Amino acid sequence: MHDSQLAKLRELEATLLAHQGVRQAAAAFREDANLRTSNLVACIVPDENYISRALADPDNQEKRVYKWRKTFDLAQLGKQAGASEPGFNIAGWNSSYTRMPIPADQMLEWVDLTVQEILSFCPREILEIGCGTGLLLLRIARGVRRYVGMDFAPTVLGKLKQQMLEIGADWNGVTLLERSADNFEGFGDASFDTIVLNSVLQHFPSAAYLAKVLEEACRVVKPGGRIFVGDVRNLALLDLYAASVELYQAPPHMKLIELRQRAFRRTEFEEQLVISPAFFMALQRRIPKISKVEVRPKRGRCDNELTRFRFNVTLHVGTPSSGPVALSWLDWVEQPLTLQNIAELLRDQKPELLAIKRIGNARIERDMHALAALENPDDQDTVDDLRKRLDTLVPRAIDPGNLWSVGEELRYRVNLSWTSCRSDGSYEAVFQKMGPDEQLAGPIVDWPRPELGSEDVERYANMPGRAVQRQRLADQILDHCKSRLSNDLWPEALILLDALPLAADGTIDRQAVLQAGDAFVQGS
Amino acid sequence: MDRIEEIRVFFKKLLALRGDRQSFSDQSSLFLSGRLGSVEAVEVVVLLEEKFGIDFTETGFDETQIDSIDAIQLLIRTAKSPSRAE
Repeated sequence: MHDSQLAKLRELEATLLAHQGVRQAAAAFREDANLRTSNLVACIVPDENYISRALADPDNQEKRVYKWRKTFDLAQLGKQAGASEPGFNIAGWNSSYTRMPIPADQMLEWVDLTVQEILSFCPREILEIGCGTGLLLLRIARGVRRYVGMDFAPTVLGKLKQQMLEIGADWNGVTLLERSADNFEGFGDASFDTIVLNSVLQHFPSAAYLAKVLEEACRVVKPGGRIFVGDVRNLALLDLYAASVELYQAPPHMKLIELRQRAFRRTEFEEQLVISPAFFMALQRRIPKISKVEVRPKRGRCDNELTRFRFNVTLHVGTPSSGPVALSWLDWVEQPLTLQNIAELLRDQKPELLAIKRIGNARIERDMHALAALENPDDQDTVDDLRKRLDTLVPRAIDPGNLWSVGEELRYRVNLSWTSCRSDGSYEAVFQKMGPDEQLAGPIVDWPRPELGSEDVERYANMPGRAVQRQRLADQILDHCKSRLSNDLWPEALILLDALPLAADGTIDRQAVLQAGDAFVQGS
Repeated sequence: MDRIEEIRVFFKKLLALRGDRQSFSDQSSLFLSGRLGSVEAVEVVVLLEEKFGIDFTETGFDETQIDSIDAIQLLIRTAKSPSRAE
């Protein structure tokens, strides 16, 4: 390389490094033999703290909240909302797979089971954060003394009020408030026994915002009360979800290498807040008032993204009544019991308690195989090849819904848990024999948990908008270069990487820079 | 730059922010195809409200209305036609 070329690379690199958002930078010449030209290519490692600060900026967070509010309001202006029956307005509930509305029977199961779960707490005074069009409120509110429903979307609340009028019942105990989820103004300490956040937190701008909302929720809930956080998208299964949806949508001839790239991009560009169950355990360390954290896969027999990839959490506030029960765990991985084996064990041996850990999850068994196939795909392998292979799989795992059915049939209370946070979606089950009193409280179980490396709750969530923020940074950097350098030093392309490629001697490998990464921003 | 060209440039920018630098025509499906999502739909709606005076509370809203440049042109024409104002 000529000295003059090297000087150009150095000058460009120095300019890149002068930008606050750049942690490391390298530049190289890309030779075009046909055109006999060589163009500058820049490669940077963004400063993740810079990205995080930009995302945490109050203006940025407010914009994100505004966009979701507008999304919900817009959903209420469509034909689906107009055609809804009073009490069952499911406009906007679209499948990621088909991009069409989730079938009404599936949504009805989802609503019914959520209502059942909340009613099992015997609530009297409920605060629902994000009540939406009232799928829960309209079914629960008349049976409790007080129900406060909050929502940030005015059109959505308008639709709820309209439905209340159409149903025409006595809604005296109901108060509706148009406000954002973090606004607890006017609520005294210990003023509700149950707080509900169902299928709303994915629209929060960050994990820090969620933690702030839950901290306030802990303040306003009475000792002995609980916070029900329903329909949480599971971070441990985000890659699996992305692969599953992309595989469904892909044309048969698509190469698996491209499918893998699409799944990766879906995860990278995820716009919703996705949370690991570990978030709630880290929160418990931060808020000692939380006496117990229960994390359950969702109930239901319908096969959809809600039952596959989401979970429900109950945060109990106050002192637990007793210590955990002593359990002897069977390990499903070492002893893969079938559903029939489990039913026989319960029927024949009639144990008071039966605990099984690491149960393979049939809801996502196929997706797990698909994700594994994408880890190291053959160059020529297509989506069609993969689908054919998946169709020949012999299922081994157990659908959690089937365990609940077995429990009901044999009069066992079935307690399932996802506190283990495993990325294969496996779960734990404790069967508890029912006596004459069917309202048996669940046992206090010391569920398997991961080691929490940190109490920082933000480590247990994704960062919605991060990938877009990185793209914005790339634009800023190109402008930065143009305003400081003569045009022969403007990069033709800017590549964003997580680390710079290094040569064997530890120096930056400039030629590898040219091949690194396919997500680049075209300079002009 | 005419207004439709302004919308093309806007879409190009939205796609670029999602790392999508593939070309698109006036007929290309941008939302129903999954290239853009509901967050971007809001940005397009705000642009149409502010620059073209479209009132979605009157027209109703469906992603098909903004799915392509052609669909948006139709929406603008329909929303501004005299019959709607009557």
